[in-house]
Amino acid sequence: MATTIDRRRLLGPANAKPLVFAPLPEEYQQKLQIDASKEDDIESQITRTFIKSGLITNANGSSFLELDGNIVSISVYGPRPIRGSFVEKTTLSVNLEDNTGLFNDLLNKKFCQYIENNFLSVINLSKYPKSGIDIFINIISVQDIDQLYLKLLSLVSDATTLAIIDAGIEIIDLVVSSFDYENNTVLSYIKNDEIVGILGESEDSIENLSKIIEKTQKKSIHVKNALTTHLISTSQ
Amino acid sequence: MILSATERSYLYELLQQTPPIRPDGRSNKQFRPIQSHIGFLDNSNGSAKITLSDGSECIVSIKAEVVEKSTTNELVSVDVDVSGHRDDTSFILNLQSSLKTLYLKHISSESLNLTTKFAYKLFIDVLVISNYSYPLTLMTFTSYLALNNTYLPKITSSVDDKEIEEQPTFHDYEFNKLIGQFPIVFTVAIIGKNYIIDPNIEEMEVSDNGLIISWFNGKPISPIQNVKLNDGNLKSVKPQLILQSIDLVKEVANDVINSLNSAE
Amino acid sequence: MSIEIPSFTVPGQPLCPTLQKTKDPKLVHKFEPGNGAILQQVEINNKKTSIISSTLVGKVQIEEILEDEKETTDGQDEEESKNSQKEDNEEYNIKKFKISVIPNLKNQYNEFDFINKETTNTNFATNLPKEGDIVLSRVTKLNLKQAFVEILAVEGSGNVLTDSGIGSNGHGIIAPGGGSGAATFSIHQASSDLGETFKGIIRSQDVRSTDRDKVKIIESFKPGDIIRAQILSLGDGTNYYLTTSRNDLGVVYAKSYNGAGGLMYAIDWQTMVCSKTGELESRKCAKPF
Repeated sequence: MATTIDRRRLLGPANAKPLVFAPLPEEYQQKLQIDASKEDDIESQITRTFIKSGLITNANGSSFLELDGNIVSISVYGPRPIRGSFVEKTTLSVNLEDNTGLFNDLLNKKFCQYIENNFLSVINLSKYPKSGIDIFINIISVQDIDQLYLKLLSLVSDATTLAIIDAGIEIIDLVVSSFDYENNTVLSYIKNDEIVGILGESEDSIENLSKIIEKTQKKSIHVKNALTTHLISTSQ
Repeated sequence: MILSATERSYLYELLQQTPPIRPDGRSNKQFRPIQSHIGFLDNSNGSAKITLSDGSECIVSIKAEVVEKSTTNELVSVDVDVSGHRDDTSFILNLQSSLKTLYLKHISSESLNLTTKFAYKLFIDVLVISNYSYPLTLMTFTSYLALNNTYLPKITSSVDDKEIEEQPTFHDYEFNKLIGQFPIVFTVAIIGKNYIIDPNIEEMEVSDNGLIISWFNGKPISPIQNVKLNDGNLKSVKPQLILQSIDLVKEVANDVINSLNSAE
Repeated sequence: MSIEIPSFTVPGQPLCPTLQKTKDPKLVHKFEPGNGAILQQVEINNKKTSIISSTLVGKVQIEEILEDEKETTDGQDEEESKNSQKEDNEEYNIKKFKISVIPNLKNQYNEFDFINKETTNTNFATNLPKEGDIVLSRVTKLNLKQAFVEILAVEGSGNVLTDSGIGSNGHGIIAPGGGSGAATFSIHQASSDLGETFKGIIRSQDVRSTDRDKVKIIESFKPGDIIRAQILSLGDGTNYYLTTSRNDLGVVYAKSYNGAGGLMYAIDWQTMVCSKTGELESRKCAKPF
């Protein structure tokens, strides 16, 4: 469409395509065995996690996170000026790009909605009038899309926290998420005991939610400590 | 809907009181009155319409198709159309994903079974004609009514067709009612220390956060998740409030089911 | 002091209460949040108090707000003191501080920033222009009624955007639906107008404070001029509204012949002279000293 051409700067050739690698043959795609006791051991999970912020220099903030075969990178753009009618507070948009081919449309939107809801309540929105913040989630590798997709979601949420901090966008507290394998539930906390996000998709009834909350809350405190330590050690 | 700063703080203050004072005078566990019609679409196997007091209106049509079980993996298909929203927006896709996971999980495949080879596939078309608040509750209520009043053609051929190459044949005018339990979804808005069920548009606008809780077979079930009821005022909530909201749903759910069952 | 303020913080970390006692019983310290800090209500032992907590990763900076500055914001103070017990105000001396968090500068642009590292904050995210701020802007186009500018920097805080939020090499990505830009605008235009800066308008009646109705925009600004201006209001969705109706506001940098000629200097408030050719051009100049 003629109207969407960017005429203001030199762009690459119009028919340029990104490099795409062929998928690995089946025998190389080893699926990691899910071990329920391993999913509950948050401290060893933290030691297995690799985090790096600011790798994508083209973005205003970015983060990269790797754990147990899940690899995600988040880039944050903004606050960028928006046009049209006046907005008092910044608008947030979340986009998920899947490089694994495992996500369907509905799961994609589920992730985006969860991240958006989480961060709408923590970003200091009124600080950025007339502007928008764009969050891009890039899923590079997935451990297990059928049973551990909510674990991936919790990692995406933690990585987004780091990317937003890297972008220098003001947030009222760190959002830390934790996943409960037994009940297939993910919860996101701020200030140790306040919930900004909940998504439960267990098979059974949710009568035991209070137990889930108790359990994930304990986990989230460990995650928060780890994130804080990471932030302080990399920034000073 | 946009409220002025004064309206917003006035409403927020009212809803913060114990008990909350809601703009339309309801208690925190009271629904808006609904008006329902059932079975008015002759070409569908089941249909229902619900009108809310604020003018929101939803029509659900349920159609069935005979499919071969070996070639079909999902026996329920859900399509959502909300007027004023494009089909590919995240709002629509999220509603659709919520409904789809709910019905796939909780409409039993036995109730749709025909023979060893064939089964019915249900197409649930949800159309929201006009919409003034978060429509998921309205959509599941209407679907509940429609599913509860769905009649599928009665099979006359043999049920066991393992060995025989035969298409099922049906009775000319007799139908079987679709038997089963169907899930519904409740929306709870959380404002300060209060939680109110079935928020209307003004209440949504000032709420701190929203929660959807599903209900099936006498129990709260997943999906449970928080939803964005407005654009700029989301706040974190204490875990206690989420648990209390579930208790609130438990308290009212059976009455809601009973009144939906009594609809004619 | 009874509570020590942390020197390095992460988001969510409490910094200090809004009011704090000192050793001197007559002296109370009052803190206000600046950049990177936010006022929050917390409940401690069932009592609601307000504290200031951090919203960024970085070093904590405390500046005293001086008395003469206080007088200009007197109206605000009176309202605030209603909450914090009016009689206290008369009994105690109040010393006011602004507490802000300066993010760590590790962006590639900041390596070249040697000037004013202490006071200038080049992290753009905290530098969106506010009402009353003095900004530097470049004229992009003119019409009879107004001049259109793009805002480059906020005085005292640095660049507004290092990269306009589109990525530092101009190849940022835009979501297929138009991303956050689509919230208020149609998709096509949002994605074609990538990489724009925050824009502003100077209406002809805001160019100077005298003879407002005789202002001719073309005799005040030319495209390419750098203008020192003050933010009047946040304006509409697209533009901030700016004014130059003060002696120290107006054109600070211009080249003659629409940018083709040499650098010009102001010789009075409405004339500039080209240093090479002696050509005179009319501008609304900022008073240099």
